[in-house]
Amino acid sequence: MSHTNIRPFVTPRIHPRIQQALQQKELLFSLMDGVGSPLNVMFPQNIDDNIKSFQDAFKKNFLRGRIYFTSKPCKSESVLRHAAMSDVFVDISSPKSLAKVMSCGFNPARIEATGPKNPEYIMMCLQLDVLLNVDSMDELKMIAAMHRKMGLTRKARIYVRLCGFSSPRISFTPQDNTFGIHVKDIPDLLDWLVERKDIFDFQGYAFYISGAGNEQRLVAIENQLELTMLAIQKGLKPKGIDIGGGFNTQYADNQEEWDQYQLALKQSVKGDIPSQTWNNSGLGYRNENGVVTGGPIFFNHFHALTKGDELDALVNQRLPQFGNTKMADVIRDHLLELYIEPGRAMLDQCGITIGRVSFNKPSTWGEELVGIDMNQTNLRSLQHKNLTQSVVLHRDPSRNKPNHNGLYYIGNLCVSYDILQYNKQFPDLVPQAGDLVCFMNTAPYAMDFSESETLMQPLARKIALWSQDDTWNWALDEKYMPVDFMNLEIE
Amino acid sequence: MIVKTITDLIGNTPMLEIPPELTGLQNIDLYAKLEHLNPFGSLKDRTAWGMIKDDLDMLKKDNRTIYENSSGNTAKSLAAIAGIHGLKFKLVAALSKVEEQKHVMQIQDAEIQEIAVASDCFDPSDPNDPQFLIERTASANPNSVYFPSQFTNSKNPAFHEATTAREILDDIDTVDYFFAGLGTSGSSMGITNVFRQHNPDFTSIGITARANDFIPGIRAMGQLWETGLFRKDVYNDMVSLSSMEALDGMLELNRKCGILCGPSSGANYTAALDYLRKIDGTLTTRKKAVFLINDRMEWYISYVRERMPEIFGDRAKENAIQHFDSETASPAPAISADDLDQWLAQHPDALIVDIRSSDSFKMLTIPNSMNMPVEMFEKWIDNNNPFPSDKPVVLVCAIGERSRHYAAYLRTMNCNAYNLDGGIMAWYDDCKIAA
Repeated sequence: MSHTNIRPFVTPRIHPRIQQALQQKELLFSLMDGVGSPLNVMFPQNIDDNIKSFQDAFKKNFLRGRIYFTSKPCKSESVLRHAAMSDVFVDISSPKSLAKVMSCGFNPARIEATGPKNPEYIMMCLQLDVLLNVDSMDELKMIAAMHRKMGLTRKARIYVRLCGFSSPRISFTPQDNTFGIHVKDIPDLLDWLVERKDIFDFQGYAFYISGAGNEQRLVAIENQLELTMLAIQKGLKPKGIDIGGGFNTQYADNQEEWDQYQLALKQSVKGDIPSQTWNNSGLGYRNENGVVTGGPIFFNHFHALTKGDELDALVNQRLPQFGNTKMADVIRDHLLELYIEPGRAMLDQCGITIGRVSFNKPSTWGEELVGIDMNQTNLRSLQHKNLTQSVVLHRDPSRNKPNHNGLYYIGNLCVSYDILQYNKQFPDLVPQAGDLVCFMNTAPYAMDFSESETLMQPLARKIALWSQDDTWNWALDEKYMPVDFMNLEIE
Repeated sequence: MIVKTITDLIGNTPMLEIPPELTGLQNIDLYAKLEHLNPFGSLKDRTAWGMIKDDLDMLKKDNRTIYENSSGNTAKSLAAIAGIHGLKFKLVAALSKVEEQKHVMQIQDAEIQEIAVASDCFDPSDPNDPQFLIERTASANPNSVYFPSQFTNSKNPAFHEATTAREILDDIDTVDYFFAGLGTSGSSMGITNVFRQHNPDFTSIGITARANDFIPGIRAMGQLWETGLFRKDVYNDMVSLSSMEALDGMLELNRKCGILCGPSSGANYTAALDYLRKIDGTLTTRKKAVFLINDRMEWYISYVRERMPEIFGDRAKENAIQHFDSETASPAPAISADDLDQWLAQHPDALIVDIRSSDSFKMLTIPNSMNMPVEMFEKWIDNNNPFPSDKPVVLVCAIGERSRHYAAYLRTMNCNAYNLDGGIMAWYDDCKIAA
């Protein structure tokens, strides 16, 4: 009657290049043993696929614009260096990240500064002529004051970040948000900017909507376009609209398995099958008198459209406030450019995190625990919400026993809650000391977004791994060269 | 037949035996329960009436507003019942995916509040979830709001037990197989419970939509646990269908049985045929199978059109613009923005046609040009040349890409078409106007 797998797991989507790399067991074992656990392995070449996906959507819809690679989800330099070789821009969020992207090959004309800004950050951006994505009226006033004090003749290039969108045709309660300036304050802000045309080069508005559906995004875009027309009427010259990021990526390999998994999780919460989560937490679901209630705290792992395909679908949506014209036509016909800021989607398949197993033990409840020499700060798994199955590399599979009831990976912190993934994992064999556990697709927001040296455990090292003519090369992440300098034709 | 109120006509729908030459079944009789003959056009008339009938006196006394959180058949039925009794009806729902359903409710004078919902299924953590919003309104106004909540109301399955299931048994004595698409799962659960009590060997098949696909009124498996009523163990088997499979079934019912039903009924029919054809040969005794015709076809016209444009004559004509490949066609001559003034001086009779949207045309345009926004323009030139053949025509768009495409097409229609290279952007960059 039931089709539910009794070992429910989600196979991760794995890039073919990473699939091949995982076959290089000797290389990976020697890297791990030489460099230490945990190890973040970057695949800088893989960003090319993501860039092309977005570029194709621009080309297909005859849109001019910029792709800002939002660099904050990962600190890797190899990926930045590789991306700098393509026609992409970069989005930074701190003074140190400004210095870093420049050292990775981005000149200031290709950089946009976002995030909360202190005087030092503003001064550096003005000095280097970096475009500022302004997030508050105070920031705008600080830029004006700083600009005067520095005696600059060149104007400060700015985007203005919006929030508080609304629509006459559809209502919603926006989540409260620290980002942006309310749309109702924009008319006054524009007058203020018009009086300071000698200081500011206003290039357009930006916004960021977190985890919202398409409808909220379309409302934001309509509001943004209306305010762009208002800016033009007031004599400013916006060049484009920045619609931010938030593009989907595929974490699960296929839809069916993902559906089955969610069903199994709910069944486990209901009590029909054994618990699938650590401490029976339910990952957002709970059992109220036999009825499953609550909502998932994890991502949707499989989407109908991702990256450039999602962008293509978005710009082909119709805007009711603009005579039901397609968004791409409105942007193009008003001679505007389109700016996007993908972060997660640009880093899709650009890195994995590998840990070395130290020990096995049972938990209080008798669950099988596998201790790995890394900790939850190296993976940020609960916030990361990635439920996919990790890939295990065995030193010698003949010494491993089969895994029947699933297991949990725990970390090296001397605390009772250092769980690396909160959902049960089902590798065929139980990993043993020395084996490697590879967590897939960790570059965006997982591998180093909030890692720390808590309890004086080490930070993970990063290496870049790349393939060329069927051979594999590696370098320390910060030593990666996107140009093959060994094979130059030197006169 | 004279009735006092239209709700007296809810229920007691007939069953149609699907001709065996159509089903190809040797050992199974397949019956369709014609729920689209209910007065407001769907099975949901029963759901709405079942939930509300006992509360009507109270609603009228308090003059309450009836709320609903899904923009489908139940909302339409509730709006109709509200209208009969002088009550207000308010829909608070995610943006309607079926345009005509919304239009019907607008004609019914329903108040409609559409919400931009982040997730596509019930999510209590989303402040924009319609159920959450209505429940909050209801608890703040306990004496003026009435929310029957079909997804959690046990009167929903109970009324189907008492009426729909009983009617079917009265007509054919026993049921061996029952097929129903799962929305609230109220109707199929109520009906299944009765059939199973009556016949222990009874088999119930629940139908879901494929994930990331959309069949109006049927949910995907992943969305079903949020509905409250749904219990998987009620069903012996579950099948999931694509929207195209549902439409194929719908068309067969529309065209060969005269049942003018919508896509969810088509899903029931497709699932029934697939399932029964597999087991038909293994049977030794005669069996009876039933599926529901949920609702009428009319409010799904744009849904069908989007997925099956060929039905509506949106067929490819010879030389149709949709199939024109300007990459391989010989290009129309291009005029650079720099040279435009000079060229126009040499061709004083030229027409300049700007195909951008009308508001962008208003903001900035080349003097003496006319505006024909692209969607209108494309219909205008499709398979035809509307321009005088003795006059040159310069096409202008934003960046010169679409105009290049259309100019090449018009050339094949013997139009003397030119393209403004780089479009209005290049012309603007060349500072033809004071910036």
